[in-house]
Amino acid sequence: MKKVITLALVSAMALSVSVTAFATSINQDTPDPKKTDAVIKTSIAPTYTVTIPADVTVDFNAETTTFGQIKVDSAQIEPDKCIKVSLTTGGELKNTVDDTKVIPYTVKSGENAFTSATYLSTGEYTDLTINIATDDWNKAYAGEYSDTVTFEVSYENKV
Amino acid sequence: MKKIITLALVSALALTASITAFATDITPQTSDPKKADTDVVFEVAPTYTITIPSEITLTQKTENGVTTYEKVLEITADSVKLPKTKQIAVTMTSDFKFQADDTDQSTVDYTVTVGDSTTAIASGDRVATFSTNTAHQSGKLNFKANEPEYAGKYKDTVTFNIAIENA
Amino acid sequence: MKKIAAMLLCICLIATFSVTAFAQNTAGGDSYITTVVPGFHKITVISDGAEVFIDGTAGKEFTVERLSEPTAVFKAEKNRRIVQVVLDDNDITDNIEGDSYTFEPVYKDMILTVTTEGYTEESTTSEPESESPESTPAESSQNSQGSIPMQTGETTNIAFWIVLIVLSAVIFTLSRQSSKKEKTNK
Repeated sequence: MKKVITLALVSAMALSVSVTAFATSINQDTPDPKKTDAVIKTSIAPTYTVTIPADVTVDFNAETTTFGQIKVDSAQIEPDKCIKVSLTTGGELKNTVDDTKVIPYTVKSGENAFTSATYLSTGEYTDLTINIATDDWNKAYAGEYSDTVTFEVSYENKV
Repeated sequence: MKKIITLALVSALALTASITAFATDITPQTSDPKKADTDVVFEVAPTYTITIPSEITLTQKTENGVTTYEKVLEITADSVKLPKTKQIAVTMTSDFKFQADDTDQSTVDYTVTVGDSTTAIASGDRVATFSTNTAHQSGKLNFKANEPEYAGKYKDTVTFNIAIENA
Repeated sequence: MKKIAAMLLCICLIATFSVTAFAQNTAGGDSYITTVVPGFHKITVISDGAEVFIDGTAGKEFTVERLSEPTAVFKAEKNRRIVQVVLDDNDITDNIEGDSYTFEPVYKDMILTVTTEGYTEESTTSEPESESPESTPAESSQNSQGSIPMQTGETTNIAFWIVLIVLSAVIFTLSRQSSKKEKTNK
């Protein structure tokens, strides 16, 4: 047991030991020209913050309902990368009592169904809507309906 | 054989023969005042050790909501012994541009100031001066870059030149 | 003692061991969509001169179950007849069978508008000795124009009126005879 603890502690020490920075020394005996190079570095890790739409209640009979925005609140990413937001949805609001009773819906960006979008910088956004056809409303049985959509944010190479 | 050995020995003798130092002889016949000068000479060669880091990494600093990347590079001098009229001058050359390691090769500008100065230096400017002093001496260079637009790894190489000049 | 000191120093080093923290990025999340479909709808009746019964109940406002198919029965008031029935913006007059109309599955609130016109009962009889025979062709022509031969609100009981008249006549006659006898006896 003692040996195990000792080994663990020594390993921790080794990992946390500071590393001496290398340096160049030039003195009177250094051949001319007396000069040396120094490398200056910095590393900036990519960061981004994306806001996705909040929960929404669709009014009865509403064909188009505002569904908020996907918005890049902040982004500092590499020049050859992008932020991708993908949407996964079953496309049906299900009755909470009888899930065989459904109301079909579509999430749209403008006129087109939304599946994914890519973003490069702070401030970029996409407005979304929830669309339900009049016929589908008219055929819908009474009751409460719900569905969950999932937004996935990923960091990918630019296409 | 004997001749060869003899020749070798004579050569060795010739090489190792001590040279008599010139001297002044004063005798009773030397005219008054009987005096002679002797040059007493010793030489102290200049010495110094200038140490410059091979690499520094700027770190993030955020103040009043503004983010920059900064680091101090210290040039040190030890055991500096120079002729009285001389000093060591250290200058730096740079294009003051970080190069990113991405495929787009984006660049980020940076500045260098010396000590407490707020004026950025230009390429080739003096960054440190050391004169004779047995104590440890140092000069500080402040590297600073503004927050770049893109994330990534950035690098630049600067060159320090050391020269002895008139003070 | 030495060992304890060494162990404590190692523990301190562990505590200060730093780990590179990667930038936090939003990974995504779920959004919840809900809606409520009402269980009932309102049928509002606008009519002047007629009564509307829905599933046997008369009224001006009815609450019906969503997607149900209720039946409306129309009854014009006395001396009135129904000439048009409009459901929201649709004229359903021709869809009425007899005096009733069955709704398609109800999926929204609706307004039922019933229009009536003045109407005399005789004009609907088909007896040749009617008082206004000319009204019969008129009635026929009106019928042919699409008016609804609806039952009026007043039911005529001729036998009752005949009996009443006869009884009145008998009573009158008897009272006259009685007064004549009294005069003769004096």
